[in-house]
Amino acid sequence: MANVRLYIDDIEIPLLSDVSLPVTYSIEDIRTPDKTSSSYAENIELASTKELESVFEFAFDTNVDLTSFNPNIKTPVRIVAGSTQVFRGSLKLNKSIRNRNTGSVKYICDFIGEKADLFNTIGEKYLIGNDDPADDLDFSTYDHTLNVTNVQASWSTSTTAGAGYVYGLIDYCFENSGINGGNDTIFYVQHLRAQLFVREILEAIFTASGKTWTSTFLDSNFFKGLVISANQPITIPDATFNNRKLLMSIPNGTGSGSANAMTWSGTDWGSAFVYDQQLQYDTKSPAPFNDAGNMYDLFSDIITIPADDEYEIIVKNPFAELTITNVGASNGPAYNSNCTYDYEFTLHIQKWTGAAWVNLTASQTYSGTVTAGVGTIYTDESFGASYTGLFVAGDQIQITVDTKVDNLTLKNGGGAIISDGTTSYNYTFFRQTSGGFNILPILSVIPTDNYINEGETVEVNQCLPQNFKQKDFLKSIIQAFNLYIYEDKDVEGNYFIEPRNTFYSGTVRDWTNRVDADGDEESLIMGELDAKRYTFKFAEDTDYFNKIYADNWDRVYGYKQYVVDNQFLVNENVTELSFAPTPMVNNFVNGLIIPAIYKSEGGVITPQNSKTRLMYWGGLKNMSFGLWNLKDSSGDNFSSQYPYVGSIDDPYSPTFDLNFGVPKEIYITGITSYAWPTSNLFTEYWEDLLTLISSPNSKIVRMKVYFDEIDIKTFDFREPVIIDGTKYVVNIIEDYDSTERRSTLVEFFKI
Amino acid sequence: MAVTIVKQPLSVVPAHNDIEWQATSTQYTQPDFAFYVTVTVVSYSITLNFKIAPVNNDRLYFNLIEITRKYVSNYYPFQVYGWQTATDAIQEFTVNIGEYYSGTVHAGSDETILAYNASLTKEERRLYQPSLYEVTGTKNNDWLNNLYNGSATNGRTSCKINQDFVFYFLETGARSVELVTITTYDSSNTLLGTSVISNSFDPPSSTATKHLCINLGPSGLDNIDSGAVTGTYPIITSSVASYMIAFRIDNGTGYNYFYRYVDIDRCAPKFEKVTVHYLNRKGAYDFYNFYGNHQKSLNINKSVFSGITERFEGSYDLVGTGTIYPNSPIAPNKKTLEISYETIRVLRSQYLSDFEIEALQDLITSPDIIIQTDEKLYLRVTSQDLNYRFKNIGEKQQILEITLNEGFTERRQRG
Repeated sequence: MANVRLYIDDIEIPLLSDVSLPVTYSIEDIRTPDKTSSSYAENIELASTKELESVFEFAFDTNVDLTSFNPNIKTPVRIVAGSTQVFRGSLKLNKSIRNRNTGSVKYICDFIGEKADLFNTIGEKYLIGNDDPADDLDFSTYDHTLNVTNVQASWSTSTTAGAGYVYGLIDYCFENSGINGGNDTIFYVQHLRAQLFVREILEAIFTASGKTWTSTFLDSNFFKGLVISANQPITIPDATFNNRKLLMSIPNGTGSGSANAMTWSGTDWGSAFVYDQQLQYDTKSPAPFNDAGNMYDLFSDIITIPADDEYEIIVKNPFAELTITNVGASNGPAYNSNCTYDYEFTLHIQKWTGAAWVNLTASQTYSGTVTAGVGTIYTDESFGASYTGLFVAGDQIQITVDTKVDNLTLKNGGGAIISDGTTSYNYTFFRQTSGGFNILPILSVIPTDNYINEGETVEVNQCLPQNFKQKDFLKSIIQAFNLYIYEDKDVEGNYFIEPRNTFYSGTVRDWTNRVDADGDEESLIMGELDAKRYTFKFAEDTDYFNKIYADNWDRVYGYKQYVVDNQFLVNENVTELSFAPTPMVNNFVNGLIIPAIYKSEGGVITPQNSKTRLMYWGGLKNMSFGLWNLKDSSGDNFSSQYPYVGSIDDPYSPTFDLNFGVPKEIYITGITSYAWPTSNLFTEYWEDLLTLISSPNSKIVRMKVYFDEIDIKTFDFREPVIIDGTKYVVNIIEDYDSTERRSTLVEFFKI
Repeated sequence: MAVTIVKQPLSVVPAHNDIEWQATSTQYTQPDFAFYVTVTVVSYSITLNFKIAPVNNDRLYFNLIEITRKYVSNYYPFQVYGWQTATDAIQEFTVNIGEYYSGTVHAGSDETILAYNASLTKEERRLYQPSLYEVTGTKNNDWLNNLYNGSATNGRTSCKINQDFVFYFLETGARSVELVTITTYDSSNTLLGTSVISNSFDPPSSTATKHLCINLGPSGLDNIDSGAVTGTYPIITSSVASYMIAFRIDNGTGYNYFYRYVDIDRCAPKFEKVTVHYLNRKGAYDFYNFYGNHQKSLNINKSVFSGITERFEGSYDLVGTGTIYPNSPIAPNKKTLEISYETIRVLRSQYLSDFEIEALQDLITSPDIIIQTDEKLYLRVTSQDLNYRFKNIGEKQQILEITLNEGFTERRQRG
């Protein structure tokens, strides 16, 4: 037994003399990083000692009430052979076994390597929108005002920056922005969305997990140029939006109104009108009533618009009572059920022009005729008004009612007309939820949407994909570029990450004299081949161009299938990213080639939320012809250059495509000799591997090899191995046990 | 008080025997009722909590043994001399039996016990009381060692020069061993000198000083510091052939003396003498000297791996000169890349008395064996590496034969 020490939570734990600590190191873990496995040791038996119980706190005892130890939480573990650390990871306590006769206790544990720890630490957290906001990635340092200046400034961001934000041009078909089928050239600044760099997001995920990487690829200019799209419109902050929302009522049984005198005309009491009687609301709480932004002035009963936007104003159920009275008639009193008159309520939503209040919309009228009826009438629930339109900050709004009584005839109990005394009508606006009424007056002033407007602050965190788990983001990047992840034995929490093509770049080691001469050599013919078809694709999306591609070709845009000429295998191995593909579209009038993400139903083009797109940031590109116009409230900003993002590295002379396969059709038309690149994710990152494993000469070889702790310490999966003149890479080192002097089974893949 | 202790262990107990409390509670009908026991390992400042459902409605059975045996350790004074505290051989624990109900812990009173490194038989436990194992001065067997009991006139023990002979004492009360007097004699039994080694831990002031030991073998007396001795010093000279050990014990009203005699074995026996120190049931290390016909053997483990051989095995023509060269026979096809071995010893005793056979049962069941060879060389083996058998030699004559795997892997050079 080598001099092996086990440390749990940095406490040295005495080992049973016959304990074995077989650790398996596997390239499988490197290739399938989302699996929770990693280098690992399973079913390790540890004796209950005072040292171990200082960690486990007698967890075997069914009655114990644990104070510090929590089996749900990772406990750090290290195996040191001699002075060499051969394993570092976390301990998972599986069970305890207690001999009831002798009282001896053993704990059975698994040791899990650090790479699994990466995905365990990331867990199920989303990029943004977690239940605990502390789990969200934070790019708020990039928050900025949405205006042409800042948008244009972002275009100077280097294509190899790898950090920050850029406003690459994407057609979301938002209102009047976009190329809208190929002819429009105007993009309003408020309809642009910033893109964030993939590398910086990845770095934020690692940092939040306390991890780092060492990677030529992730630090390459190529990778630093990758960005992702925001998958939904940018909105104003919730608090800001709330300050722009007004919802008010009035207390039950209270209200406002006035009395209006009427004059006997000789045949009846004539007509009386009251114009622009202000409705007076005063209930701002409790929820749902709200005036967080103090839009409504309780003294003047005037609403002040807080910010430029389109608002919808709704006045609903301004419950009104109109009562006619006569006092002092010589043949009175007037009999209340013998009144004949016409009535009319007219509701106005008015805006102050600076000189006068003007009605914003056609007035809403509630009217009728009472014949030999009562002198009191009420409006009903149908009475109300609404208006939707653009306002600017500072605009003032009020709600008023005109009331009118006409052709009034009053009679006494005997049916005689009353023609003298004082006659008037009272109008009252109030809330009534008793006496058979349940009418709630509502005044609502709300922006028609919460989308950001020019001049407002962009919360850059909104540019992160919504409902996108961090582990899915990492996994998709790994799968797109066939990345291998390998834990750094020397620096805790650090990982080597490279594409498979460049992963095996270390010094070639000659292990010829390390092979156990007494062991068998087993060759698995084409052992790595596990499928007939290898399919690579992006996630499906429902935008117009992705949809027509899927309809036309019955597959996702950018799809690739590699079929092995093998007559025995039938199954399919599918690699699918969480990103959606990005068809590129050109504009017929100015040469723009940009992504277009919108839907089209019945010929009507409208915006839609989309899945996240993986794209290049290409910087400013000279347009092949024509101009485009970045429009804001100040006017036009024509340019012959445009900020390019897309799936291809160059819109006019592409050499590489961020798809797996060459599309069957593209949506860049009318350009002479336009050639779609044949180099893509599959050809650059996957094809070599598949060619290798599907070759008739492909072999997995298993043989026993001698290792000691120094060999394990210095072993690196990146280093190819030569044995008897054959070059291999190592797949698995199975059950290397530092407590025993014996050879270890190693699985090699011939390259 | 809601908790009533029905039965409880004595205040000083063997750590490796059951240490059980029985208690009842009047609060057992409370919601979510359970007994809540808090154990503190005083010297380690470790607190453990246990929530235990009652049995028979209101009753608690709580056994401390799983905890005590983790924190009480074996102690042997390797190459330290004079009076020593047997580190961790005795521990103080507090046990608080409280209640838990309605989401709240209601603590009881602290009970303190001392657990020392013993594991007594069922017969011994039945009549157990601490005074039987404490050094109280009222009985003959006043220490924790089993072998070599004697009196003022008999009980002589033979020790090789530089051999250990360690005495262990449990002191939990006021009375204790105050000092030990060594009186040396030459081969003619003429008195050579008298030396006194006072117990510097008298009276015991803490838990740690309640379990003491002292090496009074020839090695212990030869290496003891002069400051610890009054009277004749050095104690062991080349003239000393034997010495008397006299412990003075305070019995409360006066003193008791207990004696042991040691003959120093200076001649070379026919076979190597191997001393085996072993832990007895009471927590002390006794020893037995094996003088028999010992054997030593080796267990060898070897791993063979491919060597880098000549690719072309056979005679060859060097660059077409026509000169035939023979192939070099030097490069091996196989190489020894790892070779290791472990030493196995078979020790045989001299003839054993019935008393010795009885006493040596503790050696056979001992969890810790220390071999002392070549006077100062210690090898520690564990019980799983031991084989024992009593071998009949002639009629009614028995010896003990033990096979020891030293449990230490030696490595050789690689091939």
